[in-house]
Amino acid sequence: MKKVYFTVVVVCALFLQNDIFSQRFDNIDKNPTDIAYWRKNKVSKPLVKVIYSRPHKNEDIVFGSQVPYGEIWRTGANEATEVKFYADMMFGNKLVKAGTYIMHTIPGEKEWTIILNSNTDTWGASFYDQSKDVVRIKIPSRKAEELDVFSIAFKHSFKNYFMVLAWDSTRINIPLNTQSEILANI
Amino acid sequence: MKKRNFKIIFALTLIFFIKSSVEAQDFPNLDQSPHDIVYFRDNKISPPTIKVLYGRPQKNGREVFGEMIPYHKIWSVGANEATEIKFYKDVMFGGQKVKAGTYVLYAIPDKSEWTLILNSNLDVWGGNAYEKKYDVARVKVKVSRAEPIEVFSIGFKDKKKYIRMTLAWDTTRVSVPIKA
Repeated sequence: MKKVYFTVVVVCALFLQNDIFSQRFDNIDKNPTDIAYWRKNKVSKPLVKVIYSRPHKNEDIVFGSQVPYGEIWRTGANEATEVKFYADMMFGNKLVKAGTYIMHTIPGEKEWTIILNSNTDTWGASFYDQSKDVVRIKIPSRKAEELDVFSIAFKHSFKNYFMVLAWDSTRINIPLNTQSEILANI
Repeated sequence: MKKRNFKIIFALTLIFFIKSSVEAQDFPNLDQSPHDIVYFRDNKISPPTIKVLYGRPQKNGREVFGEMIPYHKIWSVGANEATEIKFYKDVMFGGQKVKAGTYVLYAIPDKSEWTLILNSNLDVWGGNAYEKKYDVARVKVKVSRAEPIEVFSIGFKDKKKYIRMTLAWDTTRVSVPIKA
């Protein structure tokens, strides 16, 4: 009898264990998430933060093939790419208020459309809702050396700042700066 | 004539240099401890309740807690940029009231009990930037054991009355109840 009781206790304990500890966790994503910050210098507060996923090139040509031209692209993989502005920004030629947005793009052979949209925390571009667009800007596409993994970075060239979208031999240089610095330089 | 050729060559070289300084840029490789995002939603299509953005280091045959991650020291609960947790509404985090907003999640690991910390000093790297004066909540939670897992993981489980957030790495599991 005691044995049976003991077994019941052990089985119950196992079930409880299971309930608490059988939880499965996801592996590392094939297109892992990365974070790019833009700070004017290493110790200053961030001005822009981008959270995006980094797919690999798996066809000979990325744009126009792996990622089609003329269609909304989530600009990465998985969760839609998120852009946070810590201050009011000139993004291309448009003024955008401080805040968090998702960034979609429409790649093209010669020119890309860059879209900031307020429908945050969405997956991919399938939930794209044009009524939530905040700005749309057009940026000419440029060529550079091949890059295997989709990358977003910030660069500084003379007195100008750019957010760069880079993959394969394509580069999209989006000029940006804080509104306050632009006003101060006028 | 020769002078003119020289001028042209000089101009071309200059153009080449300027062009390459604009186009040549190093982009970071994929991180060894890549970031990941976990959401908790009531159901697949509902807006999120909680979001965690964290770095995922790997065990790689090392002893994790007590060695690679020392006991009694602030740990940024992942790798690289400190782990960020966003509550889309006010919550009870392990019994403590926390306002909707974004926080950095730190932990002080120990053998049988961890301290979990929510801190409001955002956009920091690792655990070195930790400052106690920005603490919003501190919660003590018990350590449990389970089968070893290779990659540091954070997950949610809907327990109906509360949401259980679990930090899992190696044989260590640490869970905190969150009521939203």
